[in-house]
Amino acid sequence: MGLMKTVGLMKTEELIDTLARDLAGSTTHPAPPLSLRLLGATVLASLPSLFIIVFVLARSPHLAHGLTATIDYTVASALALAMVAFGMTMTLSRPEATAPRAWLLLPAVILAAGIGMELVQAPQDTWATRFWGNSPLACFVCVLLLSLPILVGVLVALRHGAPTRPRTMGAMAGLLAGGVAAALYTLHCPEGSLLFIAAWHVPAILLVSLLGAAIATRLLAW
Amino acid sequence: MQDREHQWAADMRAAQRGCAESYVRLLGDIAASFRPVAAGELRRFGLPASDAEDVIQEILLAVHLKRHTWRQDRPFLPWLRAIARHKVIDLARRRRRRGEVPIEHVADNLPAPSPPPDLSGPLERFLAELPRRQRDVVTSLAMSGASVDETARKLKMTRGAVYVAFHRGLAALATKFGAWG
Repeated sequence: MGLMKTVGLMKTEELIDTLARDLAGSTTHPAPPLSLRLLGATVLASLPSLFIIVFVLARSPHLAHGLTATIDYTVASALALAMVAFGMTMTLSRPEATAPRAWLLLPAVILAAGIGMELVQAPQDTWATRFWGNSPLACFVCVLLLSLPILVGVLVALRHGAPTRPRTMGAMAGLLAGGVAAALYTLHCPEGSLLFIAAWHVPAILLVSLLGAAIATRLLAW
Repeated sequence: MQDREHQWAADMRAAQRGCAESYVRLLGDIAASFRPVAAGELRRFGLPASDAEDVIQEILLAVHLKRHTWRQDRPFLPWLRAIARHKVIDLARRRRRRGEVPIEHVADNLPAPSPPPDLSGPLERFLAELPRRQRDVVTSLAMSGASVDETARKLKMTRGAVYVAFHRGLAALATKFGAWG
């Protein structure tokens, strides 16, 4: 027992003095708030995906005819998801906080409303073709891959917080990344049905969320 | 409890404005208040009571590094307790992963040393066993006698990261020496 205490060079009192000196040095340049960091990281990390969508993937044929209901509801629910997830990650950055997950119902309700409107106006025998669309797997993979750099950027920014629930935070970070990627992807996605969006984009976003939860415990350790 | 919340929140607010005196008092109070409960908490997680001071230092360090996550319009004690709980669990997880033997068992069986042991050989070996970052920081600060700023500049780390690596490196060395006996 004596050996431990004597070999420990940095006694608690010395540590406190060191921390106080560091405090004095740091208040002259205060750090940017976490919300700003996160916003900046989200925007920056979205640029590669945006670049790919605009310059590599073709523009959606639907955009030429102006905004359709599908595009409206897709963008609205994706952005709602991103905003709710943004708020969640900010809340979870505080060590004592729990996140009210009921908010996640908002984007789900928006999408459900859009699907309801579409199906009410569409003949029932078209529902299957709407569900399967033309390129389900390609769209699923695109949304998944385009989310990944955003997920990484968001998690790196969130390291400045003090999360005590890293898995939940990782899941929310994944939803944020997926929401942004899905919103951007409407610039390209050639599919016209919200049923398709729900069938293929949503699972991609959920998978990104799972990934976020899986890697967050390591990345967000403090 | 209300008085402590009041006092510590006021101290933290002052510290966030740059008042080092309030900060020193606050950190000292926090350490003093955790000391009696730390040993009990550690035992619950299967850790030796001798780790108590380690945990307290880790908590103080975390409070310092994450102090910007406390907002002045929120209660201070829940924030502090959440950090403390996180650090105890973190330490338990780290110790369990490395499969370290609790120090008391080893210390009880140490033979009485007569000549002072030559530590230079083991020290070199133990230093080499540290993760690179901790080894570099400990060597720079404790062996070469460089300042924290110089070390931070040389190793391209922030000051806070240097403190963390130094503290962890020393704790690891202390454990290795204890087990070596």
